[in-house]
Amino acid sequence: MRKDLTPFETDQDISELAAGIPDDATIDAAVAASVDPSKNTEEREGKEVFAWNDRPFEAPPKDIVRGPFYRAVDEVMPEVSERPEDESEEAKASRFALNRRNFMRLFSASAVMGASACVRRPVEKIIPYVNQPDGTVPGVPVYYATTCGECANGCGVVTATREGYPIKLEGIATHPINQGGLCALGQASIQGLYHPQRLQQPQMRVGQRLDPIEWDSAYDAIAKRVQSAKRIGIVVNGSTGHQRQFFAEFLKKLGHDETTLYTYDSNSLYDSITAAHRLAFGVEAMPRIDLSQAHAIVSLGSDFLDTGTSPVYHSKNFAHARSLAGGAFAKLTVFESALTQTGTKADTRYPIPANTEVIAGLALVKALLDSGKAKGSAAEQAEIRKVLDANAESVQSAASRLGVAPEAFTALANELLAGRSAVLAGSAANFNQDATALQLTAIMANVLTGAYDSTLFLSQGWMVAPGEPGGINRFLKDAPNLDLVFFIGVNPAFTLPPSWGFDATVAKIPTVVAIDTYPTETTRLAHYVLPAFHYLEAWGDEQPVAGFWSIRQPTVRPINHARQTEEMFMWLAAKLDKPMGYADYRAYLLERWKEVQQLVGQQAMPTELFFNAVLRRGYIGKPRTQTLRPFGNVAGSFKLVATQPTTKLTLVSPFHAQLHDGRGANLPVLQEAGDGLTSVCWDSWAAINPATAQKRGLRRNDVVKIDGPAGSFLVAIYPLPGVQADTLVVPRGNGHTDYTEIANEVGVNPLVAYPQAVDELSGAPVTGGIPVDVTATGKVYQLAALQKHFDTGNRLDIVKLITLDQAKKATSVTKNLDDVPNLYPSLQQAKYRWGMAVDLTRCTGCAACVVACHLENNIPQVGRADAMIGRSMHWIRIDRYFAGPSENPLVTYQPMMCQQCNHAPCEPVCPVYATTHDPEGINTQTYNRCVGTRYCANSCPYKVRRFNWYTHKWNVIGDRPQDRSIRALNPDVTVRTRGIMEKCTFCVQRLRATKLVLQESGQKLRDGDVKTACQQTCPSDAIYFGDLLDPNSEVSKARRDGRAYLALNGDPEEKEYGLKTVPNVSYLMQITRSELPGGEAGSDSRG
Amino acid sequence: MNTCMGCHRFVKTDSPYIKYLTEMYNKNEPIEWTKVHDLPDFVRFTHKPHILHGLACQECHGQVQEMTRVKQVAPLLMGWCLDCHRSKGAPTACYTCHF
Repeated sequence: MRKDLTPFETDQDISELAAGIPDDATIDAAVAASVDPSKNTEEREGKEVFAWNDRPFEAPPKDIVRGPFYRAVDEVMPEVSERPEDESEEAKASRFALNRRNFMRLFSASAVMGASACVRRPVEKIIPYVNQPDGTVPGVPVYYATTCGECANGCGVVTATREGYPIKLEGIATHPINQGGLCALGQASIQGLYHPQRLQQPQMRVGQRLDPIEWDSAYDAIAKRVQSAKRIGIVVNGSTGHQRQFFAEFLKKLGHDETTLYTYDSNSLYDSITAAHRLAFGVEAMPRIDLSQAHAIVSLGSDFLDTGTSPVYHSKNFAHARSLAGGAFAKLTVFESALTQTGTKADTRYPIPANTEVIAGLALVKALLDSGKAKGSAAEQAEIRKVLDANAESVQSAASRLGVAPEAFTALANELLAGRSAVLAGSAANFNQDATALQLTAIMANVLTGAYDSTLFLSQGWMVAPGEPGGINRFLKDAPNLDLVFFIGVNPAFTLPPSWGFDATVAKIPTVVAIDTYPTETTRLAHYVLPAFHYLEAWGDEQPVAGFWSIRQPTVRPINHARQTEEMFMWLAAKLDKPMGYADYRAYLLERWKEVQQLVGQQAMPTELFFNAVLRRGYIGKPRTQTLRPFGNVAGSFKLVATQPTTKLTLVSPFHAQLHDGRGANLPVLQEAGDGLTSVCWDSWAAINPATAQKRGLRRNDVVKIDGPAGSFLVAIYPLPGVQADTLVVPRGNGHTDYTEIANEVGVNPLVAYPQAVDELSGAPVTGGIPVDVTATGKVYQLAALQKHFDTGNRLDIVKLITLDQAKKATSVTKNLDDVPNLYPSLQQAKYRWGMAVDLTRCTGCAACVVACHLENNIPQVGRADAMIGRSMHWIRIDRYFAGPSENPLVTYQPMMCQQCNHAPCEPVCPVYATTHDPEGINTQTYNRCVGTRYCANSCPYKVRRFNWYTHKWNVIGDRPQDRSIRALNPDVTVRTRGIMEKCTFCVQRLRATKLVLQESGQKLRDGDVKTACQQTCPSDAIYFGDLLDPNSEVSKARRDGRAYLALNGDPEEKEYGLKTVPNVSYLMQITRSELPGGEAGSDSRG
Repeated sequence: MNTCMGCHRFVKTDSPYIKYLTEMYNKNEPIEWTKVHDLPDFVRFTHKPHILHGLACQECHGQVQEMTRVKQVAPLLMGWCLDCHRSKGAPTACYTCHF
């Protein structure tokens, strides 16, 4: 053996090698030395080998030509970038700290792997059904139609169940509300069904503890208390179905009146809209906003695409209004203080100070009146004039703060009057004292543009408000007189600002019974906690639009000891010898549905048959009509409170895009999906205008103390372009203390800063727009922002924009993106060639696709620590690019999944042929062949391949130890283990399942037969999937479109071919009415 | 098991195995069968296309009708699958079975 071949030291003595393995004492010493003594050792226990502040993947600085796009504002404003790393000895020592547990975890894992290689495979058993249910074939899914219960919007859902267990939710394609789509929260709710920390059993308070008890003793104890109680309060969550009616009936049966029945929906948008319409038209309802035919849309702080009254419905219709095929490409103008996902889709966006949305609205109303073309009767116009005159002064004084030229309002008024239009107002960011005034302003504008009955429907087919304006306020006033209170599916202890003293008020009530699916901050306060069904196990219904009913039915047998909420009350009534007269809640619904049967004119049918028929379809209805009082009576109540100027920053706290009011915080997939704009996951952040941050010397990840009138909290800064200069945005939804291990101690709850205040007109709590002091603490906290990872190496021809005029011309152009000269052998020909197209114009960055993909493909959630070092497992991610000035940027979202390149750079580098090309155009990844070299991920220019650093076990969700139910996995997709690369497969399991069905008849797949999980759930219909060999398929048409381009493949028209990977995924350029950044469309392909 | 019982309520009721089956069925308890033809979890196998193409059961499972106790006859290894797929012109792309 030649001595110079040092890497092969075969003649080294084996005892020398053995000496290299550290013994226990050495490991302990190394661990002791590496752990930062200033840090709590317990905190470091169980963390990864790489500490969170490690940068193992830092790329060397490159000389790049700066294109028009930037992914984070740091790229154009280095002044607000993260502080340079702390290079003190202490920090260095903490890096790569290896503690004993980690060492053992890694070491023992490989030892087991080595040992198991020569062990026989375990014997598997087949357990048959004793009596196989009719229509059930093992391995074939059974579908149930139901209604999503995450919020009160009533989206129809098809639940796919396998062997009795739901595995995936999809929107009902024909359901008029969600039209097949489903939001991220709806998609994720299946994780809630199998949540390991669901309430399992009734609990009773013993001192400070809640002890498990049996159902019978719980009923007995509560019934006794109910009997002796003089006044019983019931606080229910917002629902538009028969639920409220049921509880009213229960109270009546017990000899109480309905006045102690309170509805609380934390989304006070419902409250302000209903209150405003009650004032203006005398009806407690919300208009149904049909944007599909609108030509001009104005949003006064309304985030209708993401956190509005019915986001999926609005997104579907908005996507329709924004298609070129329809002719009109609706113009969206947004006035807002925070940057919302709706704001990013605006043609014109005005960043205005928080609380001045109503001023902008009044200026618009004035412009409409002054235009001389305003619609609406003379009386209506006079009333509106009266409101304007009464508030002229405050408008005048605030107008200068808006920073919007008066001419802009005149122009906007003319646009609104030119065609069908809608003015939408308010979102979670605007829950201030003027929230109802803001809604009234929008109503006035809509009256003047004649939007009612053309885009806004109030007299026919209006939307039913799920809440009761000011219900919680009423409850808190009555609370001292109540002897017993039931909280049903509500969590005011978290969703109300602590300054409201909810906890203290509830503590004084003699008996508190909380009924919920999960432990919450409110169940913690209760004397009795009763576990309720998840909505996938329960009966129920919703009436999203007046006269239109959507039914909820159990899709699975109860998976723990929880019960149907309403049936608990039937039991209680029975225990008190006042039975309600129904066998179960289904029987109750059957009784109520007789009215629905009347409504739709099906009286002739037996009710049972009618009911079962509806269960198969999921919904039925006939829009009802109502008469409105003529518009008026507004001037008396309209007053402005919150518009006073302030020198401080104004805090707004919109709903988290995925977690809603916080109810989604216990679902790891939502935490992991990350925010659409900041891409921060598993955390809260304070978004601030970059220029303001610079002025105050704040940089990304700096921890600041935010002092509000009622309290203060600490949060890390994220400089976000587009946020108004005097606004601070801290989303709510995180910061739980008692909402399962997943949610607890993640992020902060900004509501602690809010003082107790209500919007006088609706009685809704004020949770937006208060002045706060922001002080730097000198600390740094790393936010897990996903969009610093998987970056595409500063390549610039990845996102392309096109002006509207060019886009209109482009519809007549036929492109051939596949006409690329190359030296590769030609591809195999098969029956199909699968392709996908994504319309960037439509994508709103809502992340529903990300969540759907996670659940369809058994993708593990890795948690904050791993996400931070680039180990999140998203097969599809949403990249968001800014362009233009950081005060008001142009934003483009780009869903990025495996591009299924025809000339894939990942394929030739695989040493074991684990990734190969399928004859049908899919770039395949064979898990059992992969040995984990990660060469493919390195050579992927799109950075879409994901590596399993661990076997993400069932007992770990994120970085939190949990028991995850194995039932929640999709049995059609292999679960990957440690050391294996994975990526988007175009949902090949769905392709194969459909092909198998069609094989029997010998038919070919038609366009639309197979939908990928992301495409199916997209609320904006932005994703097309199909056969590229079929010239008439939607995806072929999209690939030929003049707007089509292939990411990183240059511009074939210009004979520039970029990387020549020729993906099967094409994109349609984002259409913009603004000027293109950096000149022509896609001009930076050679940057 | 209700399918088995459809016939075995009347057929060969004196056999000890059928007695066991009947006993379990009456107790409403499933019988745990041992999986003889067990493929690894990363293999997605469906009988349907094989049956549609006219393959006899015996080609993979052996002469089951003559076995008193079923045993694995074919190796069920990927090479064995591919030999047949190649000779019959069936798809051989990885995603046919692995996804």
